[in-house]
Amino acid sequence: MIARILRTELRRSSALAAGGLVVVLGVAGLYSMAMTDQTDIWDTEWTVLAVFQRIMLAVLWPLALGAGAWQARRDRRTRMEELLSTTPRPAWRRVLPTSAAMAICLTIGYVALLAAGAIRVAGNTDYRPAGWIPIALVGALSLIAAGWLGMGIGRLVPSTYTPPVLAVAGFLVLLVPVQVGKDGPISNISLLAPLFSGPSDEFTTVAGAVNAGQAVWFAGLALGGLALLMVARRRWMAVAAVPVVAGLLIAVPLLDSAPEGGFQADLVAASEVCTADSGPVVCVTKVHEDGLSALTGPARRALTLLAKLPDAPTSVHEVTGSRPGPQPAAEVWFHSDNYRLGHGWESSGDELVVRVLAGAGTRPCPDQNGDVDYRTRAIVSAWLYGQYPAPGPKATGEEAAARDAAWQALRALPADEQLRRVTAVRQEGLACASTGSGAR
Amino acid sequence: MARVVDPAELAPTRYAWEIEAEGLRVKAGRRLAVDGLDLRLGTGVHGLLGPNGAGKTTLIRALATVLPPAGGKLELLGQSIGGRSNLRALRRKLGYLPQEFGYYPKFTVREFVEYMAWLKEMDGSQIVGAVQRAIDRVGLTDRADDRMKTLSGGMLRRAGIAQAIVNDPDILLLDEPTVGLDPAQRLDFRTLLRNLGERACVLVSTHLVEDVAAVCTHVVLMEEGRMVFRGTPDDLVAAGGTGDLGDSPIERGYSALLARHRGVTR
Amino acid sequence: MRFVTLYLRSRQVPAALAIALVSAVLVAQLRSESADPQQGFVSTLLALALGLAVLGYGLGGPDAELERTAAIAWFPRRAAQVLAMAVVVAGGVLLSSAVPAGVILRDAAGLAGLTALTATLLGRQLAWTLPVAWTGAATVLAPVADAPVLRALSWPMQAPDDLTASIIACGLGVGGLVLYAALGCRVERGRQGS
Repeated sequence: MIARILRTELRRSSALAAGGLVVVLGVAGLYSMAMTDQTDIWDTEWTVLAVFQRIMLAVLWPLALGAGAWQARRDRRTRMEELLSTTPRPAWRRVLPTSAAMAICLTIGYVALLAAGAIRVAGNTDYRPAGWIPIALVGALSLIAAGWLGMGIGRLVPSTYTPPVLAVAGFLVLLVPVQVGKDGPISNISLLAPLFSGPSDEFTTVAGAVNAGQAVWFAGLALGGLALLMVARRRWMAVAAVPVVAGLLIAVPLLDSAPEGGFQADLVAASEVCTADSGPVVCVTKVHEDGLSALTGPARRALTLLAKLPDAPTSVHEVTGSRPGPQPAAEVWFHSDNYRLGHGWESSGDELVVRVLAGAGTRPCPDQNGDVDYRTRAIVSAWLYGQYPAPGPKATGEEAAARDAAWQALRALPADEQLRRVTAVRQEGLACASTGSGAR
Repeated sequence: MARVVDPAELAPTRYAWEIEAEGLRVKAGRRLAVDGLDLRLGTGVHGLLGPNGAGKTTLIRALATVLPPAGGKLELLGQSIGGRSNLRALRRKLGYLPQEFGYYPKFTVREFVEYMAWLKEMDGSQIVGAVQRAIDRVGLTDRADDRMKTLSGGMLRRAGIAQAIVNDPDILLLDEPTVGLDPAQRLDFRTLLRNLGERACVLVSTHLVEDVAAVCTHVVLMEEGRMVFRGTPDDLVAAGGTGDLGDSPIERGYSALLARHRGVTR
Repeated sequence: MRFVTLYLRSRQVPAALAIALVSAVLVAQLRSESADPQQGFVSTLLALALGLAVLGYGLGGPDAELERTAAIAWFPRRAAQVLAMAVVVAGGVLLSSAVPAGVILRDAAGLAGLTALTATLLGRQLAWTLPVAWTGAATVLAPVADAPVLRALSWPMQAPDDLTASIIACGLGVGGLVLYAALGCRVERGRQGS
């Protein structure tokens, strides 16, 4: 029988509207990025999508709070309270179908949103990790917590003004960050919110401790909201504080042990996939596996061109910007920003060779000011390739003139001096510590 | 349509009267609306008459266990009400239609009556049949799957009656049940009440004295929180004469009794 | 004067006024002296939305059908109510926030019109939904809005001299006001309580 009642509640209560709102607003948010061609903020990879969807909870979470409060007022709004007080079924069993309906609809809304984004992501990458599933699950759990907490507070304070006040309070709590965390003994307190501080890329993932801590915290919030709904007498509503406080006590140490912001490097995504045939080894990161075949040819040509140098490298590796140096002399390191998920390498053929040769096969290295000397890298690359200007994007204006001058200066030197200069550039690049991003 | 009869229903009852009140006092807000009422109602259809403000609705709400008694003794189906008694078992056998009938507008009639049946902890396997039966008895069969917000006032009232009778209650409390019903529907309703009164104690509070005359086996007249008269409708008619106000014999009896009571208390 | 008092009391406006003003003033003062002006902006905007959302409940009476049968001219009275709502909330927020007055007035006008529009479309119980949702979404969207369409959608958060935002605020304000004054609150079939 409770299944029939649940079906009725699913169809007739405002849970359906709440779920629909989640889908509509979420999809609008995701695809509005398409207007400025910024969809690569979320559509590159599964983990990136899951994290961005959590950021969108900034709008969805407070509205779920308001929707819950609205739902909880239904009995008072429709004047059913008197009739309900004459029925034998205890209050805690009476609210089960409504709460379940709200939780189901919000979860389905969140999953539908994920599916809407997944359409694009599935087209962009074949890399199917599992690390994004906990991120999305915690997001759905936080939405359920918002719905139930809203219902509980709506029952605690059954005023007409509870839904708007609660929704605005939700926005404030999420958007006006609590400064306590920044200076106090507990860092990462901002992770108690369902959001993340910013979008991620395909090489970062959320730390497991963060997922676990947030899951416990939101479960505590959800149970607290449910307790507020279920208690028969108002004086017992203090019992709802128990799961919330318990969740907080368990979650805070877990969150505290995680890295700043909750993100950590995704080692699985950055692990290497290499060629297995007889030629020189060419490796790419696992998440960029699709680009291995396109890179192999140009990379091997680059290796033959680099053979002029003493201590010539024998393999090409694609590495992320966060990989710590120093670079082994036997390897060419190619920065992972050169690959765009869903689009492939930034260039192909000869241009790709030139890219691999940039800086004589080293990553871009920022100095103290954060500037990268792209000019030297381009000149060296052209020298190794044997042609100036080398195939690829051309510099313009002042930069072009400066590069021409540098090239002339280099060619004016005797041949072994040129070789020594180029080798020196490579040595400098090898000694570079971890870099940021940069793809030249 | 046969229904499954629980053996407990056929056992002899352990109480003499379904509703028994002695010196009952009930407060509505801060006002003492029912002041020292004695009542003994058994199986049958009982009419509750009285002017506005007499305390009829407060009495019915107290009998429906919405309001706790402020004093005196109240026993429903042999169970004493008041203090911290567990009312769940009693409420399973109760049916109540409030004067201001609140409902969920988005629910259909069937869904609403099912929901109320579930709330009354009816046996899950019997709910669907009982709901259909209740809807048929009030004559809403063709509107059973329409949303409640599309119903007219009279049909809403009938839906309210349906939810009150769905669990075949032993005590049925109806506050102004015939509001909005057209004459034909009122006739059907009287037949329904007579059927219900064969097995249950039905208390109907109404202003329509013709309904009382036609259906009730027993009439209670209240004024200012106290009982003024109890007896059969014929006794009520006999109390009035040609000099009293009213267009029908029973109305004349009603105003005669009220005048007599007011004359006594003034 | 008696009519005004009774009218406002029938819609529970006195209580709503107190709640709206107190909450709007409190919220607008949140983080208003923080180093990041953006945060002060956000709390001011949410204060406006909250005040208007609370007062939006008073845009409808308990029995809209009954009021429709009245002989008096509703248009100027309803328009006056929306204007008064905007003025009161804007005043409260102006006094407690450091955000430029032009932004507050523009956003109050636009959001009041939006509240009135929502009351006409969805009824007085749900008149709070669109203003609160749009404001919240705008505060989140504004930092990442580059396209003109997205900037237009996040009009409450734009600078005081932004022409598109002013046009949209005017349009919403006037459009919502006129529509509500002409049509009144949506009639709910079936009695709806408080």
